[in-house]
Amino acid sequence: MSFYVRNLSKIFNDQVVVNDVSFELEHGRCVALIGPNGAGKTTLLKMLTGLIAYKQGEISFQKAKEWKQDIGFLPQVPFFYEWMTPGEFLTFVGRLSKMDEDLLSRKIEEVLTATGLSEVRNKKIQGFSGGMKQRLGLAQAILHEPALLFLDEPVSALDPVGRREVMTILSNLKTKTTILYSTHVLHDAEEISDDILLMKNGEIISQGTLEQLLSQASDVFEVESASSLPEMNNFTINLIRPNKAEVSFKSIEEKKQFLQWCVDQDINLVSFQERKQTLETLFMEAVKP
Amino acid sequence: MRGFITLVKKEYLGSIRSKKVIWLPIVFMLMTLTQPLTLYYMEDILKMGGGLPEGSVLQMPVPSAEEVMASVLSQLNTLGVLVIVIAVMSTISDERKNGSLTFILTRPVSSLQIVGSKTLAEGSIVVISFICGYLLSYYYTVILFSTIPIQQVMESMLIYSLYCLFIVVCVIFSSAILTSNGAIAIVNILFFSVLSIAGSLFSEFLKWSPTELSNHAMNTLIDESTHGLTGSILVTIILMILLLFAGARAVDQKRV
Repeated sequence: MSFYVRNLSKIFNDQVVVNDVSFELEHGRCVALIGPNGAGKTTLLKMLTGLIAYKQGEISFQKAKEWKQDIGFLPQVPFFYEWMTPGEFLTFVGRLSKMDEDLLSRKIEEVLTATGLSEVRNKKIQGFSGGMKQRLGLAQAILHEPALLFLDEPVSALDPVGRREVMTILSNLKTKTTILYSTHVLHDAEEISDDILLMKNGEIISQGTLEQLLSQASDVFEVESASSLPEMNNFTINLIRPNKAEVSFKSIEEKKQFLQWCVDQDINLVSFQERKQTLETLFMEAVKP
Repeated sequence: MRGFITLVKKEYLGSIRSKKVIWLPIVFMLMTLTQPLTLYYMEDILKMGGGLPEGSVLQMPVPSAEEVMASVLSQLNTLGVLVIVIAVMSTISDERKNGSLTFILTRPVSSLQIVGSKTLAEGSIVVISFICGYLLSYYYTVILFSTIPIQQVMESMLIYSLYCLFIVVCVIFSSAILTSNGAIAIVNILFFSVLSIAGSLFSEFLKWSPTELSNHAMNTLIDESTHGLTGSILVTIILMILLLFAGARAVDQKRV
C-alpha cells in the first residue's frame, strides 16, 4: 500500500490554504510534516482524513469506498464526550470502526496500558487534563490498528515525560503503520522520522528522507582562527566571536578565493568546516522571508 | 447497521448522563397537568387572587372533558414547542463546535446514520415525554371532569406524537446547518409560530401543513372531523424524510 497525493489544493474564502501539494507515503515510513504556524498543516491533514472536502487534486487512497476503515486520526485539540469514560469511548469508536468484540476488548486493554490510562479507564473524561486527553486521542487513533495514522501535533500538549512516552509508542508503531504527523518539536522529528515534508504558505517547499535533507550541501561554512579575524568586506560574513565567523559562498570559486585570501592575509586558521545541518537550521533557512 | 445501533446507544447514554430522560418527561407532565387543574379550580383561583368585589357572583361554564384535553394540546403548541427546541437544538451543533464529531466522521459511518441515530434517540425521548404528560392530564381530566372514549384520546395522542417528531426533525436539521444555538432556537420558534398563524389565516391553502396536525389532534377530540388529516400526515412524513436527507448532506458538507 502506498498513499499518493497529487496536486491537491484548497481555497478558503479566496485564500489559498493548500497549494498544489503532491507527495507519496511509502508503507511503514514515519513522516514528519513541519512548517511554521499557518502553513496549512492542519488543513492538509484534515483533507487527508476526509474531514474537509476538496475539489482540486487527487488522494489515491480513496479508491476504496470504505477507506476510513484504514485510517486513524488524532486532531490537534481532541475533545471527547465529557460524560463518557475512556473505556466507554474506546468501545464506542471501536464498534464504529467495525471491530470484532473480542479483538476490541483486547485492544482496549492494550492501548490503555500503552498510553498509561488504564488506571483512569472508569473515570469520567470531564476531569481529564490536556495531556490525558491527548493520550486518549492517541489511544483512539491506534485502537483499530489502522494502516495509516494521521496525527496533528501529537506531543504539543504533553510534558517532557508524556512526550517521551508518545515518542516511544510511535517508534514501536513504525514497524506496522505508516505515520504522518505534524509537529513543531524539531528535535523529536529528527529522532524518529524517516521522511520530512516541509510546508510553508500552503506549499511543500522541501521533501525527502531525513538523511537526504540533512546531508544537503550547505553553502555556509564556519571559520575559526587563533587570533581575531580582520575585516572581510569582500565576503558575506556573519561574525559570531572575534575569532569565529560563518561565511556563506555562492560558488566554489568564491570559496577558493576566500581560502586564498586567508593565506594572503596570513590568518592562522584553526578550523574551516561546513556548518552541520540540523532540522532546525534547515527549517530556519526555509521559512526565512 | 451495527454502526447505527452503536450511535443510537451513545445518544441514549448521553441523554441518561445529562438527565434529559428525567427532566424532559417531568417538564411535559407539569405543562400538561396545569391545564385540567387550573380549569377545574378556575373559580377558586379567581376568588382568591382576583380581587373581585365582595358579593360578586361568578358563573363559569364548566368545560367538557374533551375541551380540557384540547386545551392541553393548545398549551403544548406554544410552551411544548419551546421545550422541544431547547432540549434538542444543540445535538449536532455542539458536537461540531467542540470537535467531538471528528471522531465519528473519521470512522466508517455515513452522515445519514449520524442524523438518523439522533432523530431516533431524541425523537423517542420527546414523544415518550409527551405521552407521559398527555396520559397524566387525561387521568386528571377523567377524575375532575368526565370520561372520554379512550380511542379518541389515543388517536389525538398519535397525531400529536407525529407533530412532536416533526418538530424534532426540524430542530435536528437546523442543528446540522447552523452553528449558533441561539440562531437554531429563534429560527425554529419563528418557523413554527409563523406556520401555525398562517395555517389559521389561510386554512384552506395550508390545510396539509404539518402545523395543522395539532389542530387535527384537537378536532379528533372535539368534533371528530378529519378533513385534511391524511394529507397533513402524508406531507409531514415526506417533509421529515426530506429533512433527514438534507441534514445528512449538511453534516457531510460542513464537517469541521
